[in-house]
Amino acid sequence: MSTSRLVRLTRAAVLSPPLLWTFVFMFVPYAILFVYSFWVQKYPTFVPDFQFGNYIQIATDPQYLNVILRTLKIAFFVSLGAALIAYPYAYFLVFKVKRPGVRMALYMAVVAPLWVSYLLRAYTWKTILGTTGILNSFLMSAGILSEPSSVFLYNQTAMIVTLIYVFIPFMVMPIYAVLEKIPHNLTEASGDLGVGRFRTFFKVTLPLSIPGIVAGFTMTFCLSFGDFIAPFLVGGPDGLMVANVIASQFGASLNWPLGSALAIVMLMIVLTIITISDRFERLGQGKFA
Amino acid sequence: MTRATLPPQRQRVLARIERLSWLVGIGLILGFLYLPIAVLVAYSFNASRSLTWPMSGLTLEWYQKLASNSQLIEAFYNSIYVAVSATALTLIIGVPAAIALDRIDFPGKGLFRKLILLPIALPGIITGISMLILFRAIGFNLSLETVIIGHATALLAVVVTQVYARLQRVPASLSEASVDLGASGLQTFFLVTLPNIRTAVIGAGMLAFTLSFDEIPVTFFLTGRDNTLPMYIWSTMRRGLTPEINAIGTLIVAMSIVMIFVSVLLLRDKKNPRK
Amino acid sequence: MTKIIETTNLTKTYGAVLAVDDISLSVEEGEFVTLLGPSGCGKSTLLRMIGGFEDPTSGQISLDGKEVTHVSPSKRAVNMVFQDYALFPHLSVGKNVGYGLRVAGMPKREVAEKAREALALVGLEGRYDDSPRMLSGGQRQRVALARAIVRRPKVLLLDEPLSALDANLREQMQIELKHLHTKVGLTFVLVTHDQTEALTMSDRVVVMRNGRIVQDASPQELYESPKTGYVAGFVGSTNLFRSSVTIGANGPVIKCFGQELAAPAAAGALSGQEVLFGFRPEKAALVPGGSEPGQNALRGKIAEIVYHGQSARIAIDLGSGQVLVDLQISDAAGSAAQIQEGEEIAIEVAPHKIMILADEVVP
Repeated sequence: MSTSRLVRLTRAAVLSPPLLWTFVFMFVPYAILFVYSFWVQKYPTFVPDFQFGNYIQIATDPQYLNVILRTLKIAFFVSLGAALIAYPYAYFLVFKVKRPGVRMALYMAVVAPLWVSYLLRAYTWKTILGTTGILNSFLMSAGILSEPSSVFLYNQTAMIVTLIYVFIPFMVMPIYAVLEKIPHNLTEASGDLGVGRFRTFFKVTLPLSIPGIVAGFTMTFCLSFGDFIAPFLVGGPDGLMVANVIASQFGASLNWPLGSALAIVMLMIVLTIITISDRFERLGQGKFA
Repeated sequence: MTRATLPPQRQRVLARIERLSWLVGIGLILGFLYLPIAVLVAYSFNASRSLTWPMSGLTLEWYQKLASNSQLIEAFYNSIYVAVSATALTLIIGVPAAIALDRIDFPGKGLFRKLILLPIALPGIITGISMLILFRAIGFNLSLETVIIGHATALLAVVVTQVYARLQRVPASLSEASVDLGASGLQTFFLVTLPNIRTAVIGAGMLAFTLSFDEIPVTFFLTGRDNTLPMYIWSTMRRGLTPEINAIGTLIVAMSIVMIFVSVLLLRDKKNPRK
Repeated sequence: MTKIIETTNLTKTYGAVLAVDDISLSVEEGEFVTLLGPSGCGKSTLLRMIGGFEDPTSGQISLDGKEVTHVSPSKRAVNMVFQDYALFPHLSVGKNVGYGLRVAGMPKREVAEKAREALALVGLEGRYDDSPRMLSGGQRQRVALARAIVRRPKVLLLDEPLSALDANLREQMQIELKHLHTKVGLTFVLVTHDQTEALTMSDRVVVMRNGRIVQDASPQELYESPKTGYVAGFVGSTNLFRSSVTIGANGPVIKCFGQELAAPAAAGALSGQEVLFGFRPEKAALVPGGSEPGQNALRGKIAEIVYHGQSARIAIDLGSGQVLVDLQISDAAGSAAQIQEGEEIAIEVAPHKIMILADEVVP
């Protein structure tokens, strides 16, 4: 068989299944989603149309606008909080732990919770923060509270805490990866040149670790932005996030067109963030190179 | 003024304080991470239904209730079925996809790559909804099979990133040498390429399995009559807090620990001794 | 003798880039041919096309009389030794060597036997069970050789096989490769950018540039009679200068950086034209001080002396240009030991030692 024929056949065999799959199960669904967002609800179902009504509703109705802004805010604080906790952890692991065995163990220790069910990890915060929960009974038995307080649960703070808890491992991994790549002699050289340790950190280590921070921040932000489990479990009435609204459109409200439009809006926001962070990452890499 | 300019006695004290603060910080973080899990496990043995501190006693009552819960057991087996099938599917599609991205140039490669990797940062709800729309549009009923397809699609990103990263470290000259020595493309794949990416394939497979087993957003929209375990737990949660949930949770934690050990063992043998 | 490899008008383009430009080359059975040139000259692409790893854009390749232009590498009777050796890391040395035979369906015992034979040929019998990771660069290269040879191909292709080795090892391997060639009797086609390798090992050297063959000759011919300024400068060193040819009382005369020199006889036919000339540094001789310089003398000031142990390279400033001259170091008159930087010096170049060179034909 000739080279070109062999190569072409092999290529076709290797490419077809993934390409076909991606087309049918990713491209087509997004396309239909996009099309549906222009359709109109006609209770109890929906009909084809071409109108921007859904989008206008999202942009003007304070109900939807507020939810989107609230979700953005929560996602931001979750990412910030997770980053502030994850960075020192990763830093400690890379720069302060000498023995590779200990480092591996501590790394696995922070990643291991990812293998435990997400639903359950979010759920445990419900049990901890509730009025009949552990935090309250602990505070009461310690004498700090005289009766259980409902302030810990069913609000945005509870959601933020829960989501930070869930996403810390997601933050640690890319930051660890990027800190590990920094050649040791860079910080040594900096010290050798008489620069203090704080300034070395801010001028050498931190800038070089930006790609990892950006990667972790983006992933955490986008995934928090689209979460509907934490709001359901610990969010309470004012903790509704965009994903919950979308879910209800496909559930009881049976307003698939509106749900699709919301989903497209969410998709656009996430894509924008990914694109911006890509640019950031490339900037960071450019400096290093 | 830097620390290095202080007298040695002061330096040592400062170093100790620094070390201590680091250790306390790390301890707090790890405590924060594992506290909920510890609570979950502890209270699965709690004698009373309440979640107050301190615990009222130890019992295995909740585990016994689980064992006789046929719905739960069925959901568990459903999850295994879904996870195994989805993992197999995503490997069969994902490994060639990674090879294609590494070695082949074709029109639309950029779009293909972006599409496949999108689900990593894309909230599962969007994947779930878009596939729900697809199935409804073509008149396909929701079932465990639609869940499997949904998982396989969402997990492609996991397999592709892992295998692709590993492939980058396998020089293309290896495949060329194999063909030069008389092997066909298929022989080359099985005799040369696959053995060299084995660890990545296994690792990706295990990760995919775990993620599928615990998957919620995509499953939420694609489930038919049969529930997976997370869906069952979700529906129980809606009905209120019950200690059985703690028991299920503890069992899942135990299973996760076993899986972690298995994966470490499986990957350790093949690892490059230098690393 | 049969032509074991024959390419006819072979061309390869990558988009807008012309990598191999209309090359017609033939190799006789049993020859050791080297493709020599700088990076990007197309030598590796040509080699890979012969091996079947690249598809020619146009033209034909024949191996031992059979047309193989689009045949897959697995079906060609050639084997390649890759630049990074491409040893399979997951197989032992012995299994690496036997890979091609196993794939062809040979029984295990026979495969092991032949693999051991091939390893013995390259001096690595004891390493059959070792992992490639445990071998040094030179050893890995020998395993790659054994693996390619064991299938008894008609042609062995080698892609810059010595470039990853350090200098001492390289010299040793050059000799070993030459011995292997004689011992095994296969046709070798080797690609390199190192002209020393080409001169040491080859029966024939094909100098390439910009996808074309510039000169195809034996090492001696290449060195003594390079066709173009490029070849003269690439293979060994050459002092190049341009001059118009005039006819004087004793024959043709040229000017080297403004100073008159007697030209080789053949230059007579180029009277009136501007031509490129050159002479090699070791072909010049020192004019002993005191004697009257002959007509072929170049006079100048010594700008720099670089010591090379056996000889010294002397840069002489002639006013409008510089020439390099290699002189032996000895106690005799006319030796490099007798001179110093800054001195006035005269050297002479015999006319028949001056080369007439063509300019490059830039397509």
